[in-house]
Amino acid sequence: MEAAESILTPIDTIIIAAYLGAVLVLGYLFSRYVKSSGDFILAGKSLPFWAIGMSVVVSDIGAIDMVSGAGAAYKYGLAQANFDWLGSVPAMVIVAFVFVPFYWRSGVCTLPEFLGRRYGPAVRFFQAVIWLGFLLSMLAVMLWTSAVFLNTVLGMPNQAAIWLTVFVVGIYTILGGLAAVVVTDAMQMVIMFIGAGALLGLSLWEIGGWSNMVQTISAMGPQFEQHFNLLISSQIDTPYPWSGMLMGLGIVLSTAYFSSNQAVIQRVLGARSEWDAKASMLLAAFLKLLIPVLVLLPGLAALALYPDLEDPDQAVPKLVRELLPPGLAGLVFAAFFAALMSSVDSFLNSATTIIISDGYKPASRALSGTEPDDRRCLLLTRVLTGVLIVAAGFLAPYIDQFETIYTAMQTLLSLFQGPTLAVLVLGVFWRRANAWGGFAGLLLGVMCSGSLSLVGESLFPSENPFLYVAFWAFVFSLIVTVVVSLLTPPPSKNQIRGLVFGEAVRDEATQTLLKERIQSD
Amino acid sequence: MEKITFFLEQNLVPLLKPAFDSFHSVIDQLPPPVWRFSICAYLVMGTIWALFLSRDYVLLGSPDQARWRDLRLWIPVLLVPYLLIYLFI
Repeated sequence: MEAAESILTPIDTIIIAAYLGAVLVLGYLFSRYVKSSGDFILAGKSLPFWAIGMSVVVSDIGAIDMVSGAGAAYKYGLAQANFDWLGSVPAMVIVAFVFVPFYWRSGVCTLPEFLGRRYGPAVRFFQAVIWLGFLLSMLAVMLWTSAVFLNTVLGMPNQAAIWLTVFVVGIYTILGGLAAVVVTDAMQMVIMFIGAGALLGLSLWEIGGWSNMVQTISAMGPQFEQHFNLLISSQIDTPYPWSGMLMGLGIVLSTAYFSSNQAVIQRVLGARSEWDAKASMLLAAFLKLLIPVLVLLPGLAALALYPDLEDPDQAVPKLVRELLPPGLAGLVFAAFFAALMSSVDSFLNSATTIIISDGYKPASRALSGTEPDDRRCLLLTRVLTGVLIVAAGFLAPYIDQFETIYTAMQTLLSLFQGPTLAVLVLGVFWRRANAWGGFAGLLLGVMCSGSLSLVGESLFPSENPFLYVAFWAFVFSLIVTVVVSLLTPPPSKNQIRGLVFGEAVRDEATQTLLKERIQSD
Repeated sequence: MEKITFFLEQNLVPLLKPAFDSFHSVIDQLPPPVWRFSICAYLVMGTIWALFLSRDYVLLGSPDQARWRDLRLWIPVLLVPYLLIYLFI
């Protein structure tokens, strides 16, 4: 990888240092309010809707979109915007009015916890392991993204870049927990929008406006004909055909992402009221409208200005190096660092929560027969946060084997998002779904995803068929769960009490029971 | 991994390929206006149901009953820009 000399002037360095200092101070301030593991994991259920909405957006788009999303736009064009547009609506509306009230009232902290109560400990364990693996690999992906960016812009060695991110994020997440993560995310979103807006404005100015950019790219040859089409024919060799976008992204991946992603669930459960939890998802869906404009268009601008880049992920770092004047470079650099940190902190906090809620607490109850000591839980949560971020730092360099980081992430997601959504939907809406059905649906569904991924290019009309894989794995898991559930005994009423939608949301007796359960937990 | 891939290529692909090919050949023949219509129909159907939720359900947990807190009112405001994007880009 090409290392470069730093473009930062003293004023840029001051801006960046001030920003990093502010983040660390916020983490320290919030550490005063963390008295229990509940405060650390769910921010004491005190978060307003606007902070959660901003945090959900910035955690979602973060590092991957700022660098690799723009890289994918450079390589594949505007179709990349579907991940933010079709990937937000209707999924976030469904999650706001169906899954958020359901999670809120059923009193769970994590998706594995819900699936465990609904389908038994085997499904809980399987889900927890899958999510933990995903979150850890995502942490590594994000740290590697930060290294690519910092190496190109500052000439900072990859290892140094990774460990700088590990240090800053580790400190404020360990100190302040979810509250610090969400509040710093809100601040980071404002900085990110200003920085990305400035970069977009300067890029378009350099090219001579939108129409010049379209003309320049269109004139590059037939391989760029589709660069300004949002919907692309599945007959063209692309990873983003329109039918895959609709079936794989719109129906499965986006709904699965927002309904089962621990980073999202944890934020809405940290809301100060159920209304705030629902409103936060709608606000996030509004904000997502702007993301492709701010994040992907710079990738297209880089294509028009620098069409010969070897690595598409270098598109935005190249723009930063070439176009930004002193002062603004510092602001944009802070914006990118904000994006990276907001994603890393979210995944770190979520991974820790899964280990504590789905590993340590149930194991402690099973072994000692009593509730684990909360002060010990809090200490363990903080220690784990440190251990996980350091482990991700060691894993990060191996991520470089993938062609583009963003595609790697989507491929990882598609393997288990479809089966998870199938089991979740049936668990929430179908009383007859039972433990055997859920376990078989999840296990065989993931095997189906893996198999289809291995031979996908022979089966589907796409260069990287992760969208089709997700859709068909979802369908396969639905069928397996239904068939196995029908062939085995149904769950008793007590087993699913409060764990299906109608009861949890409408039945008053069940709601009273759930409140008692939450208080006793 | 190569052995697993080889096994799947020999056994799974011949089994599934005819079904997937038939499905995708139908999809491939659809003209671009149908793509747009399908996406817009999905956006509308996926969100419009929220307008019919009860006011009590939507406002539960709200600190007051102010009109702007009725989240159903925000659904059309949210949906229109997305529809415009998929109709015209």
